[in-house]
Amino acid sequence: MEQKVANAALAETPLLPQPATLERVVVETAAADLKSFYLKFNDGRRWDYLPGQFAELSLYGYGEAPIGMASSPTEGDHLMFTVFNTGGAVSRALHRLAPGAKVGLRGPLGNTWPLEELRGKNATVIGGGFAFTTQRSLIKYILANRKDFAELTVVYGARSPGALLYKPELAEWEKSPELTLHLTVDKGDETWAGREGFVPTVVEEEKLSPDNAIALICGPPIMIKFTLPVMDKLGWRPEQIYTSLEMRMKCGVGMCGRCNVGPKYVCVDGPVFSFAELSKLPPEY
Amino acid sequence: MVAGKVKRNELSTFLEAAKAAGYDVFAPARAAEGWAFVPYEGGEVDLDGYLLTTASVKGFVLPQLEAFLTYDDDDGRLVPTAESKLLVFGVRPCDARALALVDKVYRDRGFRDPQYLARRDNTLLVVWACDAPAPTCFCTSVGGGPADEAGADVIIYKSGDDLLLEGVSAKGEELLKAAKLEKVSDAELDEAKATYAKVAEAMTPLWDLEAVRPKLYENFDAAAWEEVASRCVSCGACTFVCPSCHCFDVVDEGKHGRGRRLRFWDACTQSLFTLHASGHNPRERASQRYRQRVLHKFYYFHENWGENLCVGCGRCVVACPTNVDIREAVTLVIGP
Repeated sequence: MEQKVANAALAETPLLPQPATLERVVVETAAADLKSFYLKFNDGRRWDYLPGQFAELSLYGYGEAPIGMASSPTEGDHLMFTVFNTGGAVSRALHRLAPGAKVGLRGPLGNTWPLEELRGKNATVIGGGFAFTTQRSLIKYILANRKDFAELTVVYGARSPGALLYKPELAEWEKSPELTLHLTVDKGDETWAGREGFVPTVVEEEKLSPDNAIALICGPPIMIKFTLPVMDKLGWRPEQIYTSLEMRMKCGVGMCGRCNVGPKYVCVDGPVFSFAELSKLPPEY
Repeated sequence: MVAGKVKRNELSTFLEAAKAAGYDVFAPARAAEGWAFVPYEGGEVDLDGYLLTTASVKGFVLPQLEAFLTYDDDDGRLVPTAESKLLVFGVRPCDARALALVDKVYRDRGFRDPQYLARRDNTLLVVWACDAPAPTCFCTSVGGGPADEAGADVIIYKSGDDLLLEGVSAKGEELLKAAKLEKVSDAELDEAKATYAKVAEAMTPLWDLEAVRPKLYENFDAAAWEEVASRCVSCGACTFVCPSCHCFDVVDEGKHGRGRRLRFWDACTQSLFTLHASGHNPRERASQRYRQRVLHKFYYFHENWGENLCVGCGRCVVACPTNVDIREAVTLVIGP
């Protein structure tokens, strides 16, 4: 039952945020409802973390929220979080912050995308909407350790061109020989010369192969619901498909008791689970 | 083994010795509603009619409300815990067992809660073994018993006009040595324990949990859950009186860079417990939440730690305003 804990501060003072400073804010979407926050620890510490993990972002006076890390450890000593403004206390306050603001961080928390499983295999990333954040971390990580992995295929969809995250990077990736990127939007606009259609349709049309592959799927429940049957038809088995769950959390370290799915706590046993694992748990997420 | 005895009507010799050893002593006393642990002010304690306190012992180590962190100019600091040593006298074995279970969550997963652990280390539990369980008691059904030592530091057995005190942890033995009580022979102690074994035997387990536990989970979708929770009003009373319910919520008090971060008891039976920012709620129905509570006690915790999280104290049965009974719930869900 004992978990691997990433650092001594987290093991011995798990509820005390580590002070960090906001260095840069990037407005990601046309509606400005998603922003990326680049943070650095005040004392120069670095976290030993991997793609798929999350942190509790703390704003004193507002509270904390669990947010997946969108940066990759291969990118240097800043951490980056892309946060949707839900209208809740923390995300709304975060969205008002300017560079120089102080933010607390607790983490790194949770497990990672299945990197050991992925080694030497084809990585198939299927993302939709603003769930793409920790998938970006994974893509950056794979690109930085390119020889450790076989083919990298990314399907990424959003409602509209303006809702796509990380547009400068998407433009780079479209040209890169290192990966195959299938971008799609539900409905294009005058700026959009790319594909229109839903993610499940793209997965079907591109006949994404399960051979020697692991899929990492993350997106709105409706996208996952319609993509899984398509993948089943293409021959993917549940143990080859991983997803990342979201739950309401407070502590992030298995104490406050609210993020369990059956006997598993999403904060410490997850957030990443294979569909083979999920099939053994109650559908309470 | 370190043990000693006092006359029933001279318990103050032990409690005074505990005070002399540096402990702030709490003992059960009649309160507005039932019994409560109150500061011991000296003199003899009258435990006539005492069965169980209304609120469990957990508040001593997991306060109902705690400012665990203060912040000033966005600099956060953990609030140091009081260094005073506490002795809680007259704790029932079920309550002590509950704390031993909560320890797993706050200590053994790899993340250690410094404030909980400091309070736990500074708290000594003098457990009063049960010779006359209440009708709502069912400790023997869940792995405990009327003289269960789990979580205890000292355990007390009645023997005629004497109370026999046995140290069952290093800190309990140390206290008993310091208290210099009258000696008790092994034979006396064994004889007293034998009478408590009879008490345990008379408490026939309601189920063979090892045998029926899988059924609770297999019957996750059973209509029985709706039936047992149909009266549940999601008030959370069962969780607040429960000695092993350890879930908490966190809220900041004070904006503009200065204030306190509070944690306080929370209840899985209330709908906000799992409400997502998106509005989605994985346990939006009262029956789903009550099922969570029962399965956490009897199945999930057991999966993770090999023990039931319910200790059979029966407080939830007594406290429920609509008479939801966790014993009936388990029985109904496992079926015939």
